[in-house]
Formats: sequence, C-alpha cells, structure tokens
Amino acid sequence: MVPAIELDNLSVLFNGRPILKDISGSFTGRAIGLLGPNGAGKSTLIQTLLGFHPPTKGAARVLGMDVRTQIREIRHNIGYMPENDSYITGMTGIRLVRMMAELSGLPPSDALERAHETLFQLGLGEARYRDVGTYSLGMKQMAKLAVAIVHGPGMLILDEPTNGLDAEGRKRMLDIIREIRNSSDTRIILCSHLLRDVESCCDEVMILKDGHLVTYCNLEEERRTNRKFIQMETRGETGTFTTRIAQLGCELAVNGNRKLKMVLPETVEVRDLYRIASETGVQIRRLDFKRDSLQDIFLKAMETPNGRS
Amino acid sequence: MGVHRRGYKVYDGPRTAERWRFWILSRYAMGKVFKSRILLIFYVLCFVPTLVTLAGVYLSHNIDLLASLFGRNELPTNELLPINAEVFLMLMSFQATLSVFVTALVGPGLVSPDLTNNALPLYLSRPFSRVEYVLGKFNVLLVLLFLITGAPMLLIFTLKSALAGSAWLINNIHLAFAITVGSVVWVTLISLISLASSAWVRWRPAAAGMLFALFFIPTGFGQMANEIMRMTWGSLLNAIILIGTVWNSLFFINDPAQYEIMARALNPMRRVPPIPAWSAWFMVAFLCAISLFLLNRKIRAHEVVR
Repeated sequence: MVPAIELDNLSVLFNGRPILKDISGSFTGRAIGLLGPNGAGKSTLIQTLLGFHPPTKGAARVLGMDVRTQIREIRHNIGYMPENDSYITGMTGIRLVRMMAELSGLPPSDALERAHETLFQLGLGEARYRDVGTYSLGMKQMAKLAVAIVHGPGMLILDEPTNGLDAEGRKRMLDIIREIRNSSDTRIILCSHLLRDVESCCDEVMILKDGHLVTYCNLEEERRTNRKFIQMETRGETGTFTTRIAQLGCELAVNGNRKLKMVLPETVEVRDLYRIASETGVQIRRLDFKRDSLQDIFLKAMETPNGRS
Repeated sequence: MGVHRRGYKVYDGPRTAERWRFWILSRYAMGKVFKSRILLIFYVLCFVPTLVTLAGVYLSHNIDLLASLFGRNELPTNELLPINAEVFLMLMSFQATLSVFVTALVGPGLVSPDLTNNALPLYLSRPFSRVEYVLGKFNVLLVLLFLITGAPMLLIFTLKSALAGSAWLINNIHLAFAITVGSVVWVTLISLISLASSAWVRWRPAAAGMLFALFFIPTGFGQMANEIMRMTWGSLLNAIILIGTVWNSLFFINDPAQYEIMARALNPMRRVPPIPAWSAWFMVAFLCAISLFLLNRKIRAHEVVR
C-alpha cells in the first residue's frame, strides 16, 4: 500500500518564521488524525500537502507524488474540505458541486450525475436547487464535504469537519466520514481539535507540537496493546498466584499486597488468570484493562519537552 | 440504481483536457452574470448603435431602397454614410464608454465574492492554478466587452466590405487590424483594472465605484500636473486621452499626417505637443502589469497573516 503521506525532513518557513521543523515519517493509515494545539502547524502541513506553500527544505509526497513536481496530479487525487466557511454566492448547491467536479476534470455529464449522487448521499438532495448562501451552518459544512468528495478523490483532507455542528449534525458528519473510509480505498486525513472525532474515525494519529511531529501512533495497535495491559485487585495469599502467572510469561508488578499490574503475552488470555486464581485460592476483586485513550496519548505528547519525542 | 441510493465511490472515469479548463469558470461566471436583468437589458441596448450603423451602411449602398422609404425620387448619389477610420474611432469611443458601464456591473461580482466567502481554497485545491483562475474570470470580461466593442466594428467592416467591393477592402484592411487590436487592448486594460479593484475592494458597490474613481481621479491629477508644469505627460493619467492615443496610432498607422491632426485634437494643452504614441502604449502596458501584480497579491488559497 502506497503511504498516504511521506515527509522527509520537511521544513516550512512562513515570512521567515519556521512553522514546520524537520518533520519526517511515512504515514500509511487509511484514516490519519492530525492533532495538535493551536499554532502547532497542522494547517500549514495541510496547505503544504495541497501545494499552497512550497516546502522550504526537505520533501513531502502525497500518495507517492512529490508536492514540488507533481502538484497537479496530487490535486487530481485530493479532496479538500477547508476549515472556514467556503462557498460561492449566487449558486445553487447542485451548480456549485457540479462546477467543482468539472474543475477537477470530470466531463459535464459525469459531473452532473456525481453532483446529484453526492448531494443525496450527504442529505442535501432536497436542498440542492437552493442558493448555497441560504444554507444553514450544518448544510454549508455538508456542501463543503460534497465539494471535497464529488470528484471521487483518492485522498480526502478534512480540516475541522465538525466545526460548528450540533450533536446530531456532528454524528451525521462522522458517520459519513466512517462510511467513506469503510466503503472505498479513499485515504482520509482528519484534522480536528475534537479528540473523540479523531478517535472514532481514524486508525492512526499524528500529533504536532510547535512545528515538530511529537507522536505518531496506530490507534488500533494501541488499543490491542492496551487490551494486554491488566490491572488487578486481589484478596488472599498471592505468592503462588504471582509465581504461576510469571511462569506463563507475564511481566508483572506487585503494588502492595493486593494490587497487581501485568502485561499478558499474546498466548495468554484473561480466562487463564481466572483459572490460576481459582486453583490458588485467590479472589479477583477487580480486573481492569488499561484505557490509554487518545486524550492520554495527546496529553503525554504535549508533555514532551521542546516538541521532541 | 437511482442516484439517491448510491454510496460513495472513487471516480475512475475519463477526465477532460487540462488546457481549456479555465473556460469552465468562465462559463459558470457568465451564467451568473446574465441572471441580472438590468445588465441583460443594458447589454442588449449596447448593440443598438451598431444595428443603426449597419442599417445606415446598408441603406447608403441601396439608394433606391432609401428613396422608396422616404418617398422621394432623387437622393444624393454620393455616399450617405462614409465608413472610414474617423467613423470607426467615433463608434469605438462610444462603445468603449458603454463597456465601462458593463464592466462596472460585471467586474466587481467576479472576484470579490470569492474572496469574501473564502472560496479560493475550493478552486485552488483542484488541478486549477491561480493563473487559470484569473484567466477564467478575465475571459468573462474579455468576451462580454469584445462583443460590444470590437465585434460590432468588425461586423460593420465586413458589411461595408461586402457592399463596397474588394477594392475598398484592400484599401482599408488595416482598419480591421486596428479595430481588433485596439479593442483587445482596451478590453484587456479595463478588465484587468476591474478585476484588481474587485480583488482589493470586497464590497461590490465600492468596487464598482472604485472603477469609475480610477478613471476620473487620476484624470484630475493629470490635468492639474499639466497646468502647473506646462506639460502634457499628465495626460497619461487620462484614460480617454491614453486609449485615444493608442487607437490613433493604430487607425492612422498608414497616415502620419492624419495621426498628427487627431493627436492634436485629443491634446488638452494646445501650447505643448501631445503625448507620443509610445508613451501611451507603455502606460497601458504598465497599468496592465500593475493590475496583474495586485491580482497576484490577492489571489491566493490562503490569507497571508503578517
């Protein structure tokens, strides 16, 4: 699978000020969350990938194409949903979406067909002949998404897609993003301040801080690892119990007499712990998986000094 | 399957050629422009002088028909409506004045709404460059304005050639060149100025007002400079003299004596010689370059925060 984004010591200066500083990495996920505090360089990274800013140093590749030399090919394969309100006044929804499809290279008849399809898919079917300027905020967000996906891009860059949406609108937007992720080969870059949005849609996360990439992790792997990290509270004599667990190959830490923390190897299941507890006469009063949420990952990344991991 | 039931899928069908994609923008912008009835009516009225002239040319070559129309037996046999460089210049000037009003109605609506509503990232995140964006918008004005300035003159020229014969055509072929180049120069100048003002002044009425201001305020300053310093270079700031000088240099390319007469007629300062043609051409090129520079500063996919 071609990496969605490849960065090779990418640096971007803006008015002489460094915004992105020597970012490197190959990001292969189907849906990548882009996180970071304000001013971390998220928007600059997106704009660099779109060719709006040239890299000052280093290289960036999108779907294997270089942003310096193949920007038109990249733009053929990208759908971009900007953060701010973006629309053209005096145009109906269908006309706007069709025009954008044509500008992406679709023949007029295909553009019209896909514009209808997309607007129906996003719930704007009934409103497609209305002036976009009269749309509500939620409808405008959907119209932006329609413009981003109408030409069926191979990569979708969504900048704060749930901005300003109410709970229902937000759920709908996230459902659509997940549907796009699951129903096609389209790669998604989701930039959001809302960690839960990223957590629910993305399988990988990159966290920027002060222009540096501080964390890049696979959320699914994190979740899998966390499922093997167990915290336990027991009653009874645990000596034999801990010895037998250690013999299974578990890494074990005893905290006081009752609290145990352990990392299970791939071959050991939780039911093995219950079996040994039963055999050794130990009561398991509480058993908990480590829940290292995206918030924890994010907060940990923010604690990283000087933006370096 | 009905379109309302289909899910998302990646597009893998054919794609159009990139070279002419800026026409898409022009086509959609043109459709938007003619939604305004005022503009539509005014635009149609812009063709009236041409139709009258065409009728005049036709009738002047069909004296019998004219005589029967007026119920007279005899009419002067000499040409009733002579078609020459002076007539074309007069008609072009009139049509150019109308084109300023069309530009004021159309131009401000081309770029400023896109900037106000942050639409540029939508265009520029596609395989569509800033140059193509400007070209697409410029094309709208170019086509609309050429249709009321250059095209009617060429139509009159064609009719006159057809009626007067090949000898007239051969003797006056330079007029067709002058009409085409002259109107393209004028339309390019006014369109670029209009697009630049539309990009910098986001409120449409203000952008339209600015277009007129750009014509009249520098004219006043130029005239003041002429009067105070006893020179004619200030006339370079006068749009009428500027484009008039350019047109004179084109229409009287074969007739330097007539050019001198026309240039003196344009000159507001009788005591000093008129501005030379090269300076007018240079000024037109300079104004176009300034407009392009201003457009380049504003037509960006993102706001530059300094």
